[in-house]
Amino acid sequence: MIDRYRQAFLDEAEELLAELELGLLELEQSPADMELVGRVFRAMHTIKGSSAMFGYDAIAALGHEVEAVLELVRSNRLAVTTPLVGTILLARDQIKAMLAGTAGGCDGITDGGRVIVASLRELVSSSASPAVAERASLPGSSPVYGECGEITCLIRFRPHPDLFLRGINPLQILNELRGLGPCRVVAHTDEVPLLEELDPELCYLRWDVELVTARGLDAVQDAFIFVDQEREVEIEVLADANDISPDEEVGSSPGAIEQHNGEKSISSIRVEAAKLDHLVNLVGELVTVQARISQTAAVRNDTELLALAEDLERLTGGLRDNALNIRMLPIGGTFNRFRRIVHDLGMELGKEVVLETWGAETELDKTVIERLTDPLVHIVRNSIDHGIETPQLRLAAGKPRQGAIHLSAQHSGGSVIIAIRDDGAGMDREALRARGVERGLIPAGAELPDRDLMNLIFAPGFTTSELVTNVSGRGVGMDVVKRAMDSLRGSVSVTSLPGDGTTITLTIPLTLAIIESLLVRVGPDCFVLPLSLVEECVELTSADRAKAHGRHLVRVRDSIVPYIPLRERFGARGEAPEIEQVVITEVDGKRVGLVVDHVIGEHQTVIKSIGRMFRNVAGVSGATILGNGTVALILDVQQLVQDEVLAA
Amino acid sequence: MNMNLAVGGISEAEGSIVLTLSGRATIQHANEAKGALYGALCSSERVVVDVSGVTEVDPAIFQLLCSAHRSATELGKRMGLEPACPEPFRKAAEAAGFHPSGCGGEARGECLLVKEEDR
Repeated sequence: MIDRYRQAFLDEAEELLAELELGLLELEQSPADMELVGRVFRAMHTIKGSSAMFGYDAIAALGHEVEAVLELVRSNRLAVTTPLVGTILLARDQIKAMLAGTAGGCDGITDGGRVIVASLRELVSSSASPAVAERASLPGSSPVYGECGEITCLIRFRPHPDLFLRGINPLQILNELRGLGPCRVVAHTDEVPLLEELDPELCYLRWDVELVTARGLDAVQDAFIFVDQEREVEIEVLADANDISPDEEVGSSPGAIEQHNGEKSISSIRVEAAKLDHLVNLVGELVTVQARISQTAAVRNDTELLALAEDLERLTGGLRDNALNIRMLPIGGTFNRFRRIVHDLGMELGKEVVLETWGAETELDKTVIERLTDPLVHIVRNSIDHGIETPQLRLAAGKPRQGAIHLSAQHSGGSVIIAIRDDGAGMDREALRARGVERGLIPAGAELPDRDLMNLIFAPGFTTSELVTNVSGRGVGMDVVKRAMDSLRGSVSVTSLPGDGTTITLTIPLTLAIIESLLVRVGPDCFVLPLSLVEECVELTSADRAKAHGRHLVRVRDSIVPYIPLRERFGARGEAPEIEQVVITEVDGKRVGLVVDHVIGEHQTVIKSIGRMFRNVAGVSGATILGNGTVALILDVQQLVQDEVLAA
Repeated sequence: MNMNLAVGGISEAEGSIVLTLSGRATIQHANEAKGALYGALCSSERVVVDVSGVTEVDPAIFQLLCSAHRSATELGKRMGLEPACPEPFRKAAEAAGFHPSGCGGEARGECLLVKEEDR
């Protein structure tokens, strides 16, 4: 039981550390924002308290040191500076490492941790009076709260029965309240049942606390940081010395507390990711079965069965959308990780870079987000290393000192478009061309369209950097991005203006589980094409073929479109029909046709992986089960086109 | 120092069962302690809980003792602490907000934390 709560603690700590990091980085940008200071403080306070609760004493000790510094900031006795943020970020990393190694409990603070503790204490002693410094660095002492006028509050603490099981000892809370000022604590036992009915691990007690404190309402609320403040705690301010100047202590009226808590309480539950994966798999199976039922009903032409099949289709559709929706996460969490990368890398390279994000609320499938992180890291690192210039160069070019990286995400049909834009120097076309010739990727003297030149950066091992640094120049990076996008069924493109910066655009499907697709037939086999790539379908007659003189080209209105005859490509048996169909797709901005025997129609495709044995088969990215129980392969159109270009 | 709660040493003396708690009396041992208390209450008219060796006590155990005391009263039996609410025990009880006169349960019988002879 306790282990389950420990796992919940570890999960929560992960989130809190992320929040702490984000808060700190924002604080560096706006050091006077006291609300941010409060947020950072609360995150640290929670980490410290829950670590202590689960026996991670070393983490709690380190957390305490950080809290002492933050408390000085909160009471306006210490200013937010870059070194301060830097040191706390290091402490945060240390805590993360300690949690990962679960060494927080027994090994004590490591050497690295001790250096951080020394820096924290230095911050405290350099900016505070000696007395304060001493108080703040005493392990186990309550945080030092700023004095802000006396308030008397009546606190009704009605814990949920699982209080003890959550690892919370109410004595700790009561003692923390005692540390805030004179208080009277009364335990109520009227809910305690007779021994026979008592579950000794549940809490039947409730407490009333009358407290007079000069440390402010925030401090009182902080004592209850581990409990659900909305449901378990009621704080009523009976007398407030600050009544005369309400502006100073906005949060001290009971109404304000309620409002504050109201914002925080989003009723949600934590579910293991594996359970969601399983749910989506089941829904996938259901969609497949439903397709079979619909097909059977259509074949039998039984009106009753048809009506039932229609109902089932409607419900399955709703269930599918809901199940997929549960897996959707806002991309903001990933964006926030880049704040730290931008911060650290900027420092390392002596560049001033600010990260702007837009569309953080855009939702994407959890798996897609996970697989997107690495490519994004490569791109952002490249942008800072190659794109953004040093402050001197920027000033010389008439640009602001500080460079900007703009991360944006937005929905576009069944895809999400993520753009990474920097306002740096842009790509040096001549350097690209020279390196392309040198590596034999393009012939010397070739006049390449701009886009093809830009796309050279996605070639394996391609770099224009003369120096191999920690950051980039090893030529691993952009080809990794390209491969990751291919595996996500997405695409990547780059535009760059000299002196103006570079934009890299990623287009990714919303989900990897179920896609809208076009079902086609070649010989006896069915194939599936992602509908997002399909533009239109045109007929191909033997007369059309004759006009092209054996070349694989078809005229579509005013343009000539090359095509790949899938019948030949796959060596299909039997004769081609008199009139074939060309499915026109758009791949990397170019129109390419795929010739098939028949276009069957739109299809809800539940994607199945095709196993390790077939992983290296080019041109196929997965499989799906059709309504009649047969398997159809999902075509990797990009790969097919690339192979065709190489063969030519 | 005994770091674990020891529930045991059940002995009979002058028609009472003496249940000894020692070491850390905390939630981890609440189930075990409940079993022992329940057994003692079922088999004797008077139960004495020896808490002289208790080094730490948490609200879960106070809650348990409170429940046991209430059950004893309900059954017309007697229950007491030995020695009658020793100093460290009393301090811990106060810290948790248990007061001999103010825990809210006094309407259902005198509080266990009040010496038996004072009731």
